[in-house]
Amino acid sequence: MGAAEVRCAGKGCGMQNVFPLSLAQANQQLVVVSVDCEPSLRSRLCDLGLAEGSSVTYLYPSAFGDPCAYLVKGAVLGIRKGDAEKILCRKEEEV
Amino acid sequence: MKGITAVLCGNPNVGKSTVFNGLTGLRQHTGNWAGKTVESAKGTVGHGEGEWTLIDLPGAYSLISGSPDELAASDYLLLGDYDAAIVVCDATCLARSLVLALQTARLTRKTVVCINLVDEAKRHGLMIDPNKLSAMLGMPVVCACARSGQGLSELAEAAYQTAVMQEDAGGTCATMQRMPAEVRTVLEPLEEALATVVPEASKREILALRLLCADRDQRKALIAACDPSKSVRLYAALEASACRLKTSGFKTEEICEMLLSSDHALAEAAASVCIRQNQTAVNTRQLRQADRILCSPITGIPLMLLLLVLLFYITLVGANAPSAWLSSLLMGFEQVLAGWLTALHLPPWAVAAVAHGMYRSLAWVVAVMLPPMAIFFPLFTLLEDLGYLPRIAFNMDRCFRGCKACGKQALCMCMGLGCNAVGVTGCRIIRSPRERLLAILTNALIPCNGRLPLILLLITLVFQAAGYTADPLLAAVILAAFLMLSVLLTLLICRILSATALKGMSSTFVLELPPFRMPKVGQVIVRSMLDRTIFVLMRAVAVAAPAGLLLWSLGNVQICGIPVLAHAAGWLDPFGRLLGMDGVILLAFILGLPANEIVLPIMLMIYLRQGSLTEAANVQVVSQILAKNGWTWLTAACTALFALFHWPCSTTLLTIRKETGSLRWMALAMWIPTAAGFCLCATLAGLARLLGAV
Repeated sequence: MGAAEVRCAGKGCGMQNVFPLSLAQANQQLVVVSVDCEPSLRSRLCDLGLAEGSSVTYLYPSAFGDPCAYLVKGAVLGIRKGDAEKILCRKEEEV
Repeated sequence: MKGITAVLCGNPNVGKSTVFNGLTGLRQHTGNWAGKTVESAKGTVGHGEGEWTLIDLPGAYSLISGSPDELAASDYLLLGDYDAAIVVCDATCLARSLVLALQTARLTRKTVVCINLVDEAKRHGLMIDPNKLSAMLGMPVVCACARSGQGLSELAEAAYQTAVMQEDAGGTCATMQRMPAEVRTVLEPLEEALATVVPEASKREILALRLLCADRDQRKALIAACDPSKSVRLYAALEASACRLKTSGFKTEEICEMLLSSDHALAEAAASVCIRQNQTAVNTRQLRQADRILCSPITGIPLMLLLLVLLFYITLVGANAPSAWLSSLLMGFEQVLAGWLTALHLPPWAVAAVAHGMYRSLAWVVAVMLPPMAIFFPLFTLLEDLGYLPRIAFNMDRCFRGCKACGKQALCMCMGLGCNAVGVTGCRIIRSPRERLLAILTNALIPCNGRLPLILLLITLVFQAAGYTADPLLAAVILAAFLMLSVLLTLLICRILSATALKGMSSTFVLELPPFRMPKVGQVIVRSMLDRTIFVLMRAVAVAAPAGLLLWSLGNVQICGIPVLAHAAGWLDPFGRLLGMDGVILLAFILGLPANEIVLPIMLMIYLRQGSLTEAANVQVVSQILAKNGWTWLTAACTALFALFHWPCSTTLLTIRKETGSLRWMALAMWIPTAAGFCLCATLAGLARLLGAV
């Protein structure tokens, strides 16, 4: 149980609240916790403003359900489900 | 005064080319999608009495990583010669687009920020204070709306002032950041080796990092661009830096990310200071509603097909009248031309060669091909300016992923609909080399603007040969079906290539969906029609006229009393028959290699055996001539299929050679559509004959 808890503590959040971006509900504002994908995609997403700590909102799927559109820093990005699975997020805390 | 040069850079689709056109008065093609400009353009800006040069670079998100077109922008900023860099930012997502401005400021103090699209931001309720931003970044900031031309003269002035400014004047720039000490230690050997190549320390740092992050091919290209004579020294330095990297425990990605995240944080802070949000963004919500319909699982694909049919229908109906008018006008001039030439005391054979050979082919191509192109192209440009094309790529990505290709290939295919050579160049937007090659090799499967009118005409002929009158709506539906066949075949071939010559898995796909923007309808129609008309006319003059002359000679030079052309056609005949066509058609396709526009004129010319083209640019007369030469509905159908799938034109082939750097890939790109055409035609002909339908 130690490892999971330590990782959670490191991210400063409860584990049950962290989920992959691919499972996001429509129009829910989320905060990116970690981006665990290959370096090339990671840097690409970073260029587009999707990195740890940035906020992201799921908008709608494409005609075949994959990829899906997300709102990141005012721009709409199409991201494949397989890639979205590797982006972990949590709900934006209500202030 | 030494000539001043400024470069334009910025994120993709922030309107760099619109700014460029506004400043220079040139007509660089623009479109509402990321990656429209893949090649740099150059123009001059008038300023006071003098003028300076402006270079439009392809869009880039970052100077360190990206696809080939993006890295080209970075290469120019690092190694090119310029006096000022104008970074164009998008006011609607300022925080993100400022990152490139900060990265550019790492390279050169002579950076000017242009915040474009302020009108769109205003509609979203965002007000931007350029003075606050300028104070925070320590560089000039100009707000502009390039579409209406607002703020562009201020931008030109700011760029000029920055360019003539002394490099060391004006104290330190707040944003002129250096890298952390640990990173500098790693890069030190490389930086030293680069000292003779790049004088500025700030550029050396980023260049060293780029070299360290690059793969083998990229390294080779970069070093060649730096100074090929020092490659041994640079490779040795690269080794040393790589060694230090190992001992430091860093990874190259970590270093890049470190830089990026500090730039992102600074950009975020700067944007939050200077933006004032004064109302909720109602407009964006409404626009996203349109996307929900265009990308919905129920309506998305049907709407796309409907749009395609509509596009073809308008083209078909609209082209009839101008085609007939142009034909009578141009053909009428032929006698006048012949009269002039005779008056010049030219021998009769020369008059015939020029008037009936050269001029007639030219007039034919213009009358039959130009009207559909001049209607289809502006309509398509409107869709492009609106921002619909990325939605197609977004919707189709699932299919491309299934074939281990990239969804952005759909964008290249859309470009190929205009011209395959442009489509092939456009493949630079695809980052993975394997997927880019897939897109290049299959681009010619999409019928270009030069082939669409031919296919349209052939579809009409199929109906007439079968004894029906062709309804334009039905013809449009069939043409759309033909295009769907192209798309299916593209997917199939991508799948086959992914399992054979280009083994590999689908890489990642991130696509920006730009907001819908109302195209400037009048401007688009006038511009694309004029550009297209001039382009086609020039091409017709360059290709059809000499080809007409050659054909005239081939048709009139006789061996054993039979024209050379007829010999060749007779020789190809058995093979043509096998494919449901005949030798003449096959010969016309071979001779049409320089331009697909001249395939049909060649065919008619050989059939008529009169050594020159028929005067009739009219569907009824054409179908009578063809019927006399044994054409059935099957011949027309097979010819249409073969027009869709055969070797690409010579321009496209040369472009493929240039983009892939290899003759072998070019040969494969030639064989793929040809083989597909052979198989499909032979199958159709075989089936029809087997079933006794002919």
